[in-house]
Amino acid sequence: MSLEQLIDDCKHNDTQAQSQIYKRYASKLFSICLKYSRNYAEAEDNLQDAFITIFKKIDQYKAKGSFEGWLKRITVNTALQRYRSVGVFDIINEDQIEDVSVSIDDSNINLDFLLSIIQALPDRYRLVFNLYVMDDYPHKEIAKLLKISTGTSKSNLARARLILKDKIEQHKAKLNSQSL
Amino acid sequence: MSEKKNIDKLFKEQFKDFEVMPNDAIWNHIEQELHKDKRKRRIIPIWWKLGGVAAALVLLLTVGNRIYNSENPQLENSIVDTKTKTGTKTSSEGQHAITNNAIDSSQIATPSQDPNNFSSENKAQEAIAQTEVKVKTSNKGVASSKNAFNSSRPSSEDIKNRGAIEAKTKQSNKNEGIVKASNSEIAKTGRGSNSKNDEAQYSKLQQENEANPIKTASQNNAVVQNQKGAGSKMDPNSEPKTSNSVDTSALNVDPKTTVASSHTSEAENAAISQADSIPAEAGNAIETAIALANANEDIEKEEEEPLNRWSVSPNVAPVYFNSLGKNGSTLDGQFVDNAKEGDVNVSYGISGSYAINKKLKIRAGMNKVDLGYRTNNVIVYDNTNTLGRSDQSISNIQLNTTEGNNTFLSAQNVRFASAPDILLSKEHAALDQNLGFIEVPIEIEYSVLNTKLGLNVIGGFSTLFLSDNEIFTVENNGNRTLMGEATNVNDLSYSANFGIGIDYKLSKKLKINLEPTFKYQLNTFSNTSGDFKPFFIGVYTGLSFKF
Repeated sequence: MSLEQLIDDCKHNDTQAQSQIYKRYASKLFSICLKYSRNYAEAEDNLQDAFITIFKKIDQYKAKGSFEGWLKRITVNTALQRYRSVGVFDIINEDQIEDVSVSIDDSNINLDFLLSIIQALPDRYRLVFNLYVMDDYPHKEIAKLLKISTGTSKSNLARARLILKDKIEQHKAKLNSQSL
Repeated sequence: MSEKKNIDKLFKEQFKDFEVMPNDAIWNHIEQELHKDKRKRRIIPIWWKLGGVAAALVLLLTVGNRIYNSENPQLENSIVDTKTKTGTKTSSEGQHAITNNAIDSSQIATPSQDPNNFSSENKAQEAIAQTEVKVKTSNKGVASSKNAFNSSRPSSEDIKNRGAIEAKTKQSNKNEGIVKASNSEIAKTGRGSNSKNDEAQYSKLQQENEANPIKTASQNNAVVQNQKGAGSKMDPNSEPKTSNSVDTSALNVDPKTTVASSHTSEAENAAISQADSIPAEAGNAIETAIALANANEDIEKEEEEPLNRWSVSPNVAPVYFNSLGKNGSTLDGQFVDNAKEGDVNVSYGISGSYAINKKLKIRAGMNKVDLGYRTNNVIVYDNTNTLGRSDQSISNIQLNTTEGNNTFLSAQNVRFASAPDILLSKEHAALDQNLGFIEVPIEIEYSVLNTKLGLNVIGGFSTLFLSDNEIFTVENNGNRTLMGEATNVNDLSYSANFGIGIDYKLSKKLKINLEPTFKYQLNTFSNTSGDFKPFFIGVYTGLSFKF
């Protein structure tokens, strides 16, 4: 069945069509959830909420943009919504630092490790890092989404990079010592 | 070996093809949540609870009414009560208008009165003036008693009085119900003296008046209204009765004078002297009054009608079932484009209604509904000796054991070029889906037109309990075999109803109804293919008995 037909059936709340859509996109959307969440369980909750929103709002999807893009936006927004309602963005009251590019020795690093250090980042750093680096949101839009200033967005990104770099280097040192 | 690399790039590249399939349980949660939301959260709270409350209320009132009636055999009395009530309504409601009219007319008319009346009128007015100052509440009583005088007077005043009475009757139309509170006292006293024996009642009240004159001013008022009502009713009947009304008007003065102390005797005299002059004058007044009073009575009768709040209507209807969506199937995705037709079946049942007021009725009932739907162009063939087991079964049908070997195909999907001969040689059959429901409608009926021929608008909801669920294969030669049952029909479903009711009143108690009603089914099927929006239309006909 074509995607258009599936979407149309979903608009009529057809369970089979919904199941098809889920099967097609669940893994892509779950990877987003994993990056934006603190841990696996939270990512599952986010994915569930995202799909419920998707199927409830699917009649609002006008076949203008890409369907996958639409799904991703909803998923990201669902994740943001979770932390927005907790109010993690309001407590930022720290010195802003320069937006610097951080370089690191290129080598094969375990993907699971990278994911774990992203998840370990404080919420406000993790979200900005994901939005900017992984999903190419400009600072201006991030600021709007998170209701912070662009300065804060840039500063959070810089801090996230530094934390990640530290962790990677620690990790490498550990690996090296083990291998020796 | 390793070179410096931008950390952003590192992450981006690493996560480029990052995909993780979540646990299957997630989908189950999502599906549950989507369905729970549809069935339980949205539909039930909004009207099912409300409807339940309404149904319980209707039931309670019915039972309560039954018990109350059976324990209280004084049905006649209650009718008398209500009559007095409507009578008093007329007078008390028209009072403000009457007060003005009466005073105006008496002032204008005084010169034309004979001296006897003139002086007495004057004195009465004096009394009124004083009472007005002293006790405001007695004012109404005075005004209306004066009006009673006026109404029995002929000549130029007569026309004005007629105007007053007309105003009275008009207002009585508008203001039913509102007066009830203020009339509760009258209702009580009315019940005490079931016959319209005003004098007995009056004397009883007068005793009370003497006990505490000022406090009972308002009670006097009530008595005045009551007697006035009775008086105006009796007017048309015969002369002796008019004298009765004069009596009461004379008596009306009495309670007033207990307040207006010094003028008691004069006022009484005035009233009595006028009473003397009345028999002659009343003759003319009666004739004109008869017409008015007749009209009045008619109105009263009409007012009494909605007091029969309860009615029961057995009904029967041809019902036509179909889907609003163009292409859809309840059976399987492959039949989405097949030709389909709705069947005409029968629904029958009974409903009871309770009139909240003249315009609005709430009703509930129970109906048996049978619905049928046919999917044409289906190829049925026996698996066992042809193609072997294939996956061409129908997703939403639980097949009978005897039919288990059959395979069903939509002829739409069979290409003549490539299909095996066995398929092409098969005659096309149809699938008949028969559904039976017990329907419990809860509806509100609004009366647009309430004459001999009435027009109503009906809206509400039905709860449908599945009672029959069968699917037959119908071959072209007419053979009809039970093939199984649908697995996707919900045991409990709902419909939104909208209808227009036309009724013809055979008598006060009996009506013939004709109600074309459209019922849109909300969640009859849990899993359909394509665009299937089931509805049924019924033309409900029946008789309605009021009681």
